[in-house]
Amino acid sequence: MAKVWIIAESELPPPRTGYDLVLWSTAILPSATQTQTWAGWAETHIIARTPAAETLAFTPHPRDWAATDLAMGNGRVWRFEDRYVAWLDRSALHVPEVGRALSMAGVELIVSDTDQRYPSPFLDPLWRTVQANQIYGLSLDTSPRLYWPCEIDPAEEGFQALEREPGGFSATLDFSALESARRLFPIHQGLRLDVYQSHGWWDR
Amino acid sequence: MNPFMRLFMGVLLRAKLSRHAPPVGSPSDGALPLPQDRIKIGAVQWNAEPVRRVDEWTRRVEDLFREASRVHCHLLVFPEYLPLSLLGALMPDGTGAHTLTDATIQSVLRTTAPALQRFWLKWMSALSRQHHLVTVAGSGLMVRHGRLQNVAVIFDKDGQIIGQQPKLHVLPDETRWGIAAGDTLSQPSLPPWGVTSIVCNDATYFETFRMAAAQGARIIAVPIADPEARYTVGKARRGCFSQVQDVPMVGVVSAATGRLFGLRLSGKAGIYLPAELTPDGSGVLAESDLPIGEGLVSAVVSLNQLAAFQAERVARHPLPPEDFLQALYHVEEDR
Repeated sequence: MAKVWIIAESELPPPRTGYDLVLWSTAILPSATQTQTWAGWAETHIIARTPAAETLAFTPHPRDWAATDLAMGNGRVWRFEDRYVAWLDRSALHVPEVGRALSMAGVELIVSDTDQRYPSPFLDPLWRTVQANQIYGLSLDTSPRLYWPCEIDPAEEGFQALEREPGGFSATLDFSALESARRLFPIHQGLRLDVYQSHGWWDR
Repeated sequence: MNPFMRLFMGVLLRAKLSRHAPPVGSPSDGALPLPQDRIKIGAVQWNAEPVRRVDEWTRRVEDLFREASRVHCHLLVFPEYLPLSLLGALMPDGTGAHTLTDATIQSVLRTTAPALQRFWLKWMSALSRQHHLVTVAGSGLMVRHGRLQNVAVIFDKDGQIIGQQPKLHVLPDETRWGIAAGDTLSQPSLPPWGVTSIVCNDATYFETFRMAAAQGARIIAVPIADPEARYTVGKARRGCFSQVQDVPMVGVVSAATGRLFGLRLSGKAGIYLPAELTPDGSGVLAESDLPIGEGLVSAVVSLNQLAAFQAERVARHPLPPEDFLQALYHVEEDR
């Protein structure tokens, strides 16, 4: 289980403990020192990112949280509790191969902020990516949503609005549940790499 | 199942089916040529419960053709496993079917596939010709090169087969029943329409749509028979609807519903487009009201509008570079 706090303030709120990961989509980044100190006090990982993809990320220790820049799409990947978390631009997810590549490489949570309002979560490319790859997705906007595989959602719709709390929103992610989803409906096991390779739609 | 039972079952089914000949289709001379841009598509929602009498199946299929013809469709799409309801003529209400072992199911399916295939294709050919409709006849089981496969078939308006497509991504249940996956995606038919058909779970994978689009497909038919006792919008939207948002095409879903030999099927017939091409921005051009029952939904699509949107989409969201995709779909030697 990972408890996630999504900060919905324009400045860092007072730190509090009990979270494993803090995500902050902000217009302006504070100083690196301030953010690093905050991570130490809150004893949590934190990723802060602006719409221009300027990013600060620290571990609870507190140290720089090493990341890998993505070759495709504007984004980064961090190692988090034996799995990987990616934060990338929503437009990158309109190319479904990006989400496929990330999930096949072990990413189990994709975070993406957007200023676009989708009339339905089913039209959000992040929701599609989550369902296609049976991972978690966190859509950060004024009304953040958690996306998760339909197989592990009691409502079978694959999304839920996040719970509002002082300073933002919170979500609890059970990564082990993803394995249940993949057992119930083994999407990745059903991939026909041989067929895709022989058709090679990319070299036409 | 012992060989005698298999033989008996095959002979009995052939005898029952042979009593029902399809109508003699009128020639298509005089029928209007197929339009190049705006085409009307019909998608069938089918009650797949086993029929007690063969003529019940033929009457309902004829009714659906008649209705599609009445609303001036050019293309009509039927669901996955359309012929399987005919097994009700042998096993009236499927009593006890859910207690059969996988080996017995495998044996029944393989034994009955040839007779069902002949009957199904004969009728769909005749009705396509009679109503001058391009028809995706749904899918049925066929023994091809010794392998049992779940194959979608496309007829032109003269009743000629112009496309066949085995399911590429078979479900674990189907594997247990001896159904083998296909290995290649057929070229689309009827340019400039570019009609192709895939089968049910193939639509879970955007890769299927990428392959079809690269081959020039613009209309992708998806016969389905979803073994979901409870219909939810979320699960339904994961397939064809989602894929045409990222790989723009006209997606046509025809759904089998109801109880079929122990399986509870649900799903809606629908016609889907990228959200930007639907008047209300929903991505849904037409869809059945309920996920059970039988009927037809239809809508007009503009292929020229779609082509313009496809070009714009590719410019805005180009494919990843070739080396990226080669690495993503690399097949390891020990796989």
